Amino acid sequence: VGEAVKQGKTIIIDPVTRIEGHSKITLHLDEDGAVEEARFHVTQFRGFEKFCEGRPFYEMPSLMARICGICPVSHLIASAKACDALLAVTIPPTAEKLRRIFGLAQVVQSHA
Amino acid sequence: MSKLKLATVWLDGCSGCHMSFLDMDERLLKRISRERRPHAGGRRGEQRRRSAQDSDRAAADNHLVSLGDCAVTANVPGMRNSFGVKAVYDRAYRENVTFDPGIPNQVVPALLPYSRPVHEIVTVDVFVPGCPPSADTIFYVLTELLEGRQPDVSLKTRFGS
Repeated sequence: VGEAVKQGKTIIIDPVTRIEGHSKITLHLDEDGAVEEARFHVTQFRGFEKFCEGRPFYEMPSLMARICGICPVSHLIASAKACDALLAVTIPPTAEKLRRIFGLAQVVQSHA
Repeated sequence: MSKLKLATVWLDGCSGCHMSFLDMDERLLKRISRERRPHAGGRRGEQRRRSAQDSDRAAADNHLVSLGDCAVTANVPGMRNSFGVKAVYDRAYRENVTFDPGIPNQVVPALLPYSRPVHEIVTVDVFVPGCPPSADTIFYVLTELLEGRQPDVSLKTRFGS
């Protein structure tokens, strides 16, 4: 996992790999060298929580897909479900199956 | 055919362009040098000096490619610009948080006032829009650069593709 540097009583893992986005982990050690506190620092921040406000709901699935280029389908489907809830609708069984296939296809692609 | 030395940097994207990049699969291996960790900072410096002695003219040119809509226009990261840094921080780290709300001020870098496209900061040689550009498009760009030509991506990709 990245480059682990021990600096006094803090171990820094930077960058954290195998995740989307950028982050680092700091482990703060006590006098006996045991972990006193572990912190996960998200070093990439884009502000989705704010900039989605006021936009049409039907933009959300394709916009949420851009949260993560590795697992865009997960975010797209989550957003589509939120939009279903907004509209108080239930999708037909065929659509449900299509979403499942879509999700599984992402897993296949990630591990191909 | 000589081989490319490639360095990529993610900046504020979602990694989708890097997924497209990796989707070149084995085609990529035929085009790039296996030398590890090319020096990204040496675009106009060290690599050029080193490669100036290379007889292959294409290898003597270093190119900075602005890859994907976020690099070309600021795109998704730029969507926060109209709200301002304080509003986006407050929404994510104060209003939406139930445990210990507060804006991080240690370890993580502070946001710049605006998210900007790459060419506002450094000189860009090739623009490749797309969200993301396809693997075929990226492969075309690399091949053209390797052949010493300026890639024309106008028919191969577009904004939002």
